[in-house]
Amino acid sequence: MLYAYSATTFGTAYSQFSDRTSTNEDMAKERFAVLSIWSSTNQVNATVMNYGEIDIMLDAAYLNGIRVLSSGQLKLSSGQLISLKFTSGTAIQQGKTYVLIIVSKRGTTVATSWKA
Amino acid sequence: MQLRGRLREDKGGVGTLIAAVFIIMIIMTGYSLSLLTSNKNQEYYNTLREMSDLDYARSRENISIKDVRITTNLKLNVTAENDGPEWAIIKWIGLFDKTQYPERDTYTSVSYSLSPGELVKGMGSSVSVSWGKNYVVQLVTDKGNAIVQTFYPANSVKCKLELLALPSSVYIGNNITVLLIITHNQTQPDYIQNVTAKLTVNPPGSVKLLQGPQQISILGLKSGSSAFFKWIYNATQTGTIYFNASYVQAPQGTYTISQVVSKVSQTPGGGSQVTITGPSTITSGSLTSYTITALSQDGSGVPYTQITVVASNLNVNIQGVGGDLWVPKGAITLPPPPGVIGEAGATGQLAIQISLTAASGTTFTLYANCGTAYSSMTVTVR
Repeated sequence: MLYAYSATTFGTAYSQFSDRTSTNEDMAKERFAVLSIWSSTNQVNATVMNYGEIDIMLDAAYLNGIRVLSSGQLKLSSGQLISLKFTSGTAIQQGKTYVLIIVSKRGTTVATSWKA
Repeated sequence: MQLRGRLREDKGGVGTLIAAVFIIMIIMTGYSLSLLTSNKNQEYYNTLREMSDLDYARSRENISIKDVRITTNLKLNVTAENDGPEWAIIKWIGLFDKTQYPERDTYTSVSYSLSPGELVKGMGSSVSVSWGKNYVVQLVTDKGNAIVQTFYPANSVKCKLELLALPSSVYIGNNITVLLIITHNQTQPDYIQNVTAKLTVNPPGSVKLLQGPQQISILGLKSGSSAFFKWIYNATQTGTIYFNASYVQAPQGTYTISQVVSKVSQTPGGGSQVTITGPSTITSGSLTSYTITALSQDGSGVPYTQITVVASNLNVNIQGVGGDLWVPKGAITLPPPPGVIGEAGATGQLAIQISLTAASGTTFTLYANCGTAYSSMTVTVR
């Protein structure tokens, strides 16, 4: 009984630790960058590159704090590019600076300042 | 009793043994999990270290675009240099067409490795481009760094022009060197696709082009750099000559045109150049050919070029045998020196032949003049 209890306790603790560490490790391997952003009226196009060591899922994008992309996780393989097209809630004003934040499923965020 | 007593003792021993085994198993399980945890931790820290190294290498990456051009088969031609201490791999070439609305971007997968300090030419040979469009060229490395340069046609850039005509005043028949410097002094774009110099002369017939620029078009003129063009003209008539310079597709405005004036006047005395070419030694008794090249500045044939021989006590026979502006006067035998044997008007050449019979070492002087300009040559008999 004592052994069974101990083994279960140790196993559960290790499993939780292992899962948490694996998640952290995968998150640490994530790297992506926004290569370019351009717009026409309220349509915005952003090119994102995954230069990390692991495939990523893009989960959301925020333009000046407003969620503009929630298409449900776009997969981006390591070394590849993806073009994100989304509609801004308001018309993009020429000369104004915007901040685009892209969030991966694992929680990595990349913020890019962009002058329209 | 004895039997019972032994049994109890035996049971107690076995129980202790079993308990010990379980405790050892629990300890070993714990130890194993501890080792696994340690290994997992180590893996995690190794990953953190690797990614930290990647971030460090990324921060040290330093690629610069040195040149951007369009090839004759309408492909992109980018020259880039790795100025950083790390190896770099160009993974993507991005091309943005800013003339379209909405603009259009294309990324082409490539693979160019650049060692530290290496310059690589001809990147983008698979990327199609067109003349006359506003492009943004982007090189993307495998570490996620992007290098961007703008690449516009000449009609979008107000270049600075400098024009020099040297000398500013010349005599007719002299050469005028015209220098044009086109400087890309704007911050944008980073490169002008093509700069083709344009020079006009007014009045058009006042000069004759002797030499034009070796390269009339410069591809990929970088911001802050200049293109040099040189022409050499020969002034053919008197008056004021206006040189106007610009470049093909230059934006409208006076800043694109630079005007410089060169004044051409007639040489005092009419002649400015006369040369005699031929051997400095001749054989006694045989005919020897000479050519006199004369330039008469007024274009009317006056004053004439005259050929004279100064010789004492010599019988020198001189005869004209041709030349584009020769006015034959017939053969003449000297003395009396000096003697005029021929005349030529305006610019041209005179071909003459000389013969005399004299002792070896005898010298005489051949003299030609065109107005006040003259040339002489001392000839020795072999």
